[in-house]
Amino acid sequence: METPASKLVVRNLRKAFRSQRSEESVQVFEDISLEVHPSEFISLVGPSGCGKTTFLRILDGLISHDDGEILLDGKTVIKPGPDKGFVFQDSSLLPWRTVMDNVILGLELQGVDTREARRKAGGYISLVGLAGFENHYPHELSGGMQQRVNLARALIVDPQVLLMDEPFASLDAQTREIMQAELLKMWNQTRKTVIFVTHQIEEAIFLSDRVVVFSARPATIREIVKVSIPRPRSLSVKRTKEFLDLADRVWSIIQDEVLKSMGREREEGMR
Amino acid sequence: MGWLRQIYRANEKKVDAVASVILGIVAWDIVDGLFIDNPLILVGPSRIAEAFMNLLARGEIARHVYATFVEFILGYLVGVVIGIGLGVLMALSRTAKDILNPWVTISYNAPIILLAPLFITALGVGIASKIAIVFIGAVFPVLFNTYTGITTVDRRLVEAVRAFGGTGRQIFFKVTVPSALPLLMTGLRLSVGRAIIGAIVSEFFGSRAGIGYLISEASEAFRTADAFVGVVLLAIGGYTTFELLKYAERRIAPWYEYRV
Repeated sequence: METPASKLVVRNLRKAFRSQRSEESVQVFEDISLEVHPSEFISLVGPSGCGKTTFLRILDGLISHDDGEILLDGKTVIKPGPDKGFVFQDSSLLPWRTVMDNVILGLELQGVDTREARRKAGGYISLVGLAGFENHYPHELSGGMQQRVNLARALIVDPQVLLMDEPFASLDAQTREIMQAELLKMWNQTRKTVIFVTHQIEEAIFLSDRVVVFSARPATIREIVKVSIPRPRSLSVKRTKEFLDLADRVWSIIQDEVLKSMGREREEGMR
Repeated sequence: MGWLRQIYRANEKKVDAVASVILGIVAWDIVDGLFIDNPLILVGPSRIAEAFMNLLARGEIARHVYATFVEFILGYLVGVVIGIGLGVLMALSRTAKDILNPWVTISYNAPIILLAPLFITALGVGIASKIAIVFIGAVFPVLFNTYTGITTVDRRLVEAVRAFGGTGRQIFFKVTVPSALPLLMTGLRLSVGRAIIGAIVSEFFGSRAGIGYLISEASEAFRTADAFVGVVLLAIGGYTTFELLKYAERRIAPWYEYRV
């Protein structure tokens, strides 16, 4: 029995990818277990290529796993659905739809009446700061604004958990900082459970209650770093000693993993 | 004169294009009237206009335009429907693609001008052979563009809809179809030219009416001006259809040129 306080439970997850050319399969995850509390903000970091994004897609049910289980509110996750909201790295908005019609996508797929969906969407468009842009097309928006639409599209289905895959990776440094602060504000209002994948350590610390550090492939959870910086946090928190110490700590774990995996690759190369 | 220059600056492209056409027509007429006074070698715009008025008065224009239009529109519509159908089928089914691909490739690469006499021998000089030839001209650009439009759908968009619980059917109608639409529209536009060529060529090889018939019959009787009327009618018809479809394309998929 898991504690009733858990929103999302991952138990002994394993996944291997079979390469198309050879019979060999590559182990991506080896025995990952994780418990996420309701309204918790969790970030996943780790060396490049360790499978953070794959992990997130498995949580959503977009990709299957080989072994282990994933429970959302005690129910096994089999396929994607409105109980999970996914925010993609590239906004992947439908270019022929306006902001409004992109936001209602999730409701529309569930068969909600369009007029009702649009009425509901207004609130979410305001929440992400895009009031007045309802009838704009994605190509008329900046990258940051597109990601706001992407976020509203995920929030409107009122998901139990928000899965975010490096949503700010393609934004410039300034926009990125602003979006981080805005995301925290929205999270304060909605109190969704969030799993946030990023490769930026300070972004992970700034946003999260806990930072989960993945090891190099085959990935396991190397360490979970608790961030006890009080909320609400402003961007200036990034310059405090407490913040910088945490960043150092996470960085040294990742660096350790990167060096290890480089050593392993070199060994394999020599064989 | 400042205001004139301003108007010119604002519409430079259009003014240049219109001026170029007008100058060309005037030059053509001058050469025809002053230097080469032989209607077998060259007929100028004023003689063509005269011939046009004569043909119009005798009801010949209406008869020929109607005949060609009916052949064109019927063959074109059948071509569009079957082109879209086969394109979708080949895009969605690997087996269908493997089976149909060699036939499509062979038929596409066979020049219409070679097929036309065969169709006329088989189907007669009536409208059936014309429709068949127009169809052959129209079907392939539609087929290829439908196929390409569907198979090159952005995987990221498909995944996004899937992530929100979209079913296969919903993905097809909410992502695949709208994203294939601009390319399909281009296919519709490209097949117009081929369809018109099909109609004219088929009339050359045997017919009793139509713009192609007018051109070939008038040339054989050395009525060069009448033949030119046919050419001008074709040019106007082709240009209008092409521009209309281009306009429709921009209206239906204004986002297309901005896609990433």
